[in-house]
Amino acid sequence: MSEEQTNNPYDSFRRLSVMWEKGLNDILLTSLDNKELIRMTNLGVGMHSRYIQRLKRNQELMANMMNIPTKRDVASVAKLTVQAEEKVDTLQQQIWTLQDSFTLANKEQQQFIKEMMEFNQKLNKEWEKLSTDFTEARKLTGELKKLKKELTASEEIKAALEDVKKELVHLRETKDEVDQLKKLLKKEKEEAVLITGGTK
Amino acid sequence: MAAITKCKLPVTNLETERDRWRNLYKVLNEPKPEIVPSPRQAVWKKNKSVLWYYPAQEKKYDIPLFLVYSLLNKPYILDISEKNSVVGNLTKQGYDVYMYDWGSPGLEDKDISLDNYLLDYLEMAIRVALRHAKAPEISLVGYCIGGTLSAMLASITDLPIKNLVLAAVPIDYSNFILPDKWVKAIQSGSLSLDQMIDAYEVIPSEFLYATFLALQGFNIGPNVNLVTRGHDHTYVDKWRRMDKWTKDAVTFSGSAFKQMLNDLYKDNKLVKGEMVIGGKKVDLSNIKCSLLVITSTRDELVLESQSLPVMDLVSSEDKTYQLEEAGHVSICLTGQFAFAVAPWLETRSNLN
Repeated sequence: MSEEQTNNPYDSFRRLSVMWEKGLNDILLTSLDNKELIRMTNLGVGMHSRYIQRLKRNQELMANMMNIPTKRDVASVAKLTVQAEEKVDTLQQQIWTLQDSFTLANKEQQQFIKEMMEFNQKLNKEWEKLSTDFTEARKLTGELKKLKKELTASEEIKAALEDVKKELVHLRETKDEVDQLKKLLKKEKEEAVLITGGTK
Repeated sequence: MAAITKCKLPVTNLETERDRWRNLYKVLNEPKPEIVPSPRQAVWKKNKSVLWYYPAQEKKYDIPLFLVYSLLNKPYILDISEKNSVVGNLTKQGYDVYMYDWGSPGLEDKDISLDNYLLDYLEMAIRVALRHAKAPEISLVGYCIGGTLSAMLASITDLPIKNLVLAAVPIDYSNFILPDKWVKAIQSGSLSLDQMIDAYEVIPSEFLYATFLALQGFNIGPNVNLVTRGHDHTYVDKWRRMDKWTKDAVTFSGSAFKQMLNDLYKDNKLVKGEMVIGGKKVDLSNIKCSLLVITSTRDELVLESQSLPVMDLVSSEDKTYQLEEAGHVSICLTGQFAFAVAPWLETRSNLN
């Protein structure tokens, strides 16, 4: 079996450079990793720092002599702006705290009002209930009065009935008397017949 | 049967070659590309720092993201192009994104220390973002030194940080990318940059750029790639953006630089629990929020061994470690970072 490949020079170039890069970096890492170089770097850093410091000092001196502002002067002014910004930030934070407390107070107030309204609604409902009860009680009182009246009326009827009863008793007594009279009359009649028959 | 490979001479494709050399000519002669940021709004400014707000294209999550990039470079690498923007891809996924640009300090900022950066700048910026977003909590996403600062802040602040994402984050400085003897010299104090820092007051951007180049050694790879893939317009565009960003270095406040070198690189105080910020001891075990740590397989600037210890130092119960197939810069340059954090964040960002 055979495979045909088109050789791309860019691919080869890339692969080769990756290999070179890796190799060079390894060499670099090994050569850099020594104490002497570190000591030299430390010395170099020190020297360079002193040079920069001297340069800055001289720059300041020259600027002072020529009476021209330096970067340091500009920085001092810029710092004032930053300070002003910081003050604004502090103020903003205080405003936020105030806003938060207002919001909280507002919420509490709203809650209180809500509770009050609920209480009021309840009170209203109770009142309505009470007034309904009161109306009913009134109605009941009226009915009671009516009943009372009816009761009074019934007492009168009772009295009348008792009168009637008495009259009835009286009538019965009268009736008894009438019956007795009747009996007496009958007896007298019979006696009269007997007397009449005896005399004949 | 053994395979026999026959090599053929390349057939030159004239069109490809024309594109390649035309693009190379452009790189050498034309001005660097203009970086157009995603739609954004400055929410807060302090000194040279700016808090940018990138609204979600279609808001899906209640918890916004707060990106903290390194103090050593400019953060626009997170929004380098429309297609490969980390920020853009996050906003597309429905997150409101805040990104903090530290700015480039001037001489007037020489006394800004890490304490100031954390308490007066970063903490305040997060407070502003929380207020602006009207969100109860926030996800803090720190990259490189930005991650170190985010971890420090998360362990001393009372801010409601729901999720903490640390990517390519150096936490343990017992070993870093310098040769062993240099590491030991720095740790023992036999190599000190204090005098130089005092002399310069503010570390010039050229110094940081030179350090960045020196750390990479013989870094001919990008230039070789430019030649070999010069016909690919997309690659060349990406390369030019990357090139612009690499050379667009920032200055560094002397006080913060000295503090970083001595407290972190020399004394490794963060891991030892001896770091003090604003009078408060930085104890990483105070971190209890959900944590995601991301490292990259080809990261040549921050070692995996520098990031891993944070997993054991925090108290978070919900913690995830994620290894991405990428490099230190390429994870941001390609926008891959957005897709690396998204699956973890989406379950922890309160879908609305």
